[in-house]
Amino acid sequence: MSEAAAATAPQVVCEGLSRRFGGVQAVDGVSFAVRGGEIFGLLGPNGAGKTTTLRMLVTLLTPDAGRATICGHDVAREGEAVRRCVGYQTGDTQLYERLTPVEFLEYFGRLQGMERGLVRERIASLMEELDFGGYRDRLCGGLSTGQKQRVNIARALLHDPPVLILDEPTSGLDIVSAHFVVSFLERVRAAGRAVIYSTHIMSEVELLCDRIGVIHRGRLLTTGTLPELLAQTGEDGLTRAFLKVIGAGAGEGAR
Amino acid sequence: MSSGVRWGVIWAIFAKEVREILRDRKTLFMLLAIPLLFYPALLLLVSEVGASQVAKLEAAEVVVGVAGGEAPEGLRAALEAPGEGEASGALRLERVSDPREALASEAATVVLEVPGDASAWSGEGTAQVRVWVNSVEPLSQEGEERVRAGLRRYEAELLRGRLASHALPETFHDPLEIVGEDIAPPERQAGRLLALVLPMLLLVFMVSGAFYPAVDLTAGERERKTLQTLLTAPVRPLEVVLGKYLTVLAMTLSSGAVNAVSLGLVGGHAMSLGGGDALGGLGSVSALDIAGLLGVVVLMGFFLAALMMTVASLADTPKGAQSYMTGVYMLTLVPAGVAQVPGIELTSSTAFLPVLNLTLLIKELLLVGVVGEHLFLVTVATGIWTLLLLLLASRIFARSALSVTLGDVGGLLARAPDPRTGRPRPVPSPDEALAFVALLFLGLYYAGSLAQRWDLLGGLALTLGGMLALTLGAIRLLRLDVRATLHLGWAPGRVWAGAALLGVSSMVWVQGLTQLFHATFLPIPESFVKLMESSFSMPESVGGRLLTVAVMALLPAVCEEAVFRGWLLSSLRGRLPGWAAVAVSAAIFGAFHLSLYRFLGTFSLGLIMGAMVWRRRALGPSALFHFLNNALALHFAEVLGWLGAGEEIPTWLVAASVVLSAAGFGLVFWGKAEGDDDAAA
Ligand SMILES: Nc1ncnc2c1ncn2[C@@H]1O[C@H](COP(=O)(O)OP(=O)(O)OP(=O)(O)O)[C@@H](O)[C@H]1O
Ligand SMILES: [Mg+2]
Repeated sequence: MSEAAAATAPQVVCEGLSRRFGGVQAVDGVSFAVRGGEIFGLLGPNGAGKTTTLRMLVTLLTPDAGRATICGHDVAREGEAVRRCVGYQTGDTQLYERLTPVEFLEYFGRLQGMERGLVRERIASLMEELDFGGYRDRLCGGLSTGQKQRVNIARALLHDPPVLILDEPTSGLDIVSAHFVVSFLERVRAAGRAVIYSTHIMSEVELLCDRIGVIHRGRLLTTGTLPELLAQTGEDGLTRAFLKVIGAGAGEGAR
Repeated sequence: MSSGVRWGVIWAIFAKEVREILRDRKTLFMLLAIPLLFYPALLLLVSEVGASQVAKLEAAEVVVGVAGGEAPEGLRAALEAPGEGEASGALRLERVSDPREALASEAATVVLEVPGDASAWSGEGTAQVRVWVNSVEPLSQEGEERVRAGLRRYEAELLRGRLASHALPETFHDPLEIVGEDIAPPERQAGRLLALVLPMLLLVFMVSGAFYPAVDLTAGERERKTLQTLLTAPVRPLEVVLGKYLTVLAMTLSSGAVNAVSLGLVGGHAMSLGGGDALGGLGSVSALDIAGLLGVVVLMGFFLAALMMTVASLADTPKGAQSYMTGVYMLTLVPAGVAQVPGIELTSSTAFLPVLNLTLLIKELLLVGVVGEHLFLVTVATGIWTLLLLLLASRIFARSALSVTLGDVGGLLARAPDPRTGRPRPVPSPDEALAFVALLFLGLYYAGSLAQRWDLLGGLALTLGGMLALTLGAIRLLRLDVRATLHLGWAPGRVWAGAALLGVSSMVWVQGLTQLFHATFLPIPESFVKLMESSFSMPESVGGRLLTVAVMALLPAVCEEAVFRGWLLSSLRGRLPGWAAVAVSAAIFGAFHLSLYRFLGTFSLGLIMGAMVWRRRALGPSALFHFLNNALALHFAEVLGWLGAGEEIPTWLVAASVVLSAAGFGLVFWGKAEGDDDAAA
């Protein structure tokens, strides 16, 4: 994390965020903060509550308790302002099958209320960065998973949001495409954006994340940099450290 | 809950959905192929096959078995001679012994059993002949027809002989000639036939075209998770709903139009071929009727599109949506069927029942013509139902990007902070306000009219009191600010004085103008004037008069002002420019009086009161205006008759009223508008 980033106020702040579905406490008192220029990795096994946490941040779900702000806007009460500040993307989203990538991006540009000229400019520069010019005029329904994912990342960044929230963005991608996404995110971070990145792939976290939060059964068990995590657990690899934290959490969390 | 919509966003959503639909072969096929290919093909099949079958039968040879005795020569001749205008193939007579056996073995197509005793034919008695057929054999039926025709010819011949032998004229056995005359114009006769099938057909056409888009745009998008993406863009749920609704509406209307036109062309072609003249009278249907019919069809589209989209958006998956919608589809066919029952007509109690009202209106249009009052009521009712459905849909979209649970849908009225500022709001949002007024409409319409049937004044008092109580309840439920919502500001003395001047004077010129309009464009029926005069009549006793004034002037002044100039108008502040907010609230106020012939007058008064409250942020003066206006209307009704009627208003009265009103307007509107400072802040 750069010093400039550390000096700025956090872009994302969660305090005691909770959400229950019927009998399942999907997210239970999660608190963390992410600054601009920082990639925060949300690491947890299946069903840990990663997606639910992120959905609350992007206003798709309302929290039962706790609060969260994005760029100073409360997610429960100022949904529209929050949605202007975030780009959100998940690994399982489809595109509109009967639009071309360019039409798809133009559509979201209009929904963001952007000027037509600005939309064109942004599309051109994102197309270059994400390298999807080769199929810009094909219908999205016929694109491969990796091709779709690039277009979707462009959509999330189109309105130049200060916060980018990604839920397992590399799921379904081959190692080349996944690596492309990871190195692209390094550039996103360099642009000063705050990035939240959920995954259960250790190598991506090791490579990319400035700080890591381990979530299990809805509880955020620990947060820290990779070295802090390793020191805390006395392990020498993230995978072992992760399992140790979770194991401890499981014991403690046996309610 | 969203508030305020941006048309640019709605248009962007609509344009994108339409573009996708135009690229979707499946939907286009459903929309175009069935009407453009299926009907002509069906017609061709039916007419070709039908015609050739008929021709084949008519040309076929028929073997008539003769059982029992001998057929007399005259009968033989009558059977074998083809009658006038009957193109028929050969007929051959053949002796058979057992009719049943002859038919079963197909030795004969039809068997004629005649009396064994030849003397049965002579004299003046009745000879019995029996025609044996096998009714499941088309050829046997054809044979029967030819045999019966021959028998009729022979019978006529015998009768002529008998009459001649007694020297009687041929008219002897024909003492009466019955001639029918129908005074219904030919287009109405044709309309009766059309009224039977048209509503049902239209319903089926519209639903069939919109079914797939309604599912795909809602549950389909939710299943593909693109809805999540859409709802993480800074769009408001009502904008998403309206953009998608317009798409479904376009599909509903185009499906209705394409089907109707194609069926019309095919049907017209069939008639010109077949010479069927059942619908021939339709050529003379008036332009007004056609415009009315089109209007009703569009109304039906508005409602059906909203219904289907809302129902489909309740489901998580297209499969689920399809099963919900099939159920609703079946349900809409029930009222369409009920409307066909003779005697069920458009009345004030059926005018608000969705689908039934529209089908009844189509029936009425075709049988009687346009009835302005009914068209108005059904339009208001359809508008209310459509609005409620769309607001419900926007609530579903707001809460359920991922999946729908019953709790998410909730009531239309639920506590929600302002999505833009996040602060609790002092006044309702426009959609909350509209949803509430729409529900109030429906509730009052049924409960209120029931109560007023029991006792006019008591029922009216109950209705108005109920309105106020429900409004106060809603304010509490939403935890709104009573003072801000009901515009409970104080106004300086001159504003009150101005309102009083306007209150005693505006009715005269407003009614004068209204009268002029109606006399020129839309004559008011006599029966309606009678109704108004009787409901505005004053009793003799002092107590009775006071009670009437209290219920018909004082209560409306308080309760209607609270709802229309308080609740409704305050919700529009900051969302619409002043003139538009005042016009919208006045139009709803006018519609609330549930009569085409009262709309213009109440709308105009609504404009005056709305403008007054918008500018002064005080309900008091407009309540005073309302009270004086109503009280005066009661008085005038007593002296002059109801002012909407043809009664001449004296010129001096008009002049005086204009002068007083001008002074009143000056006092009310002169000077800076109230609350502009804090509005700017
Ligand atoms: N809409 C929902 N209704 C009911 N339960 C839900 C819903 N969404 C999530 N859950 C439950 O909440 C818990 C957390 O789910 P969540 O999707 O947040 O986990 P996750 O960490 O994203 O898992 P994965 O790695 O598998 O994506 C799970 O037990 C899940 O079953
Ligand atoms: Mg997940």
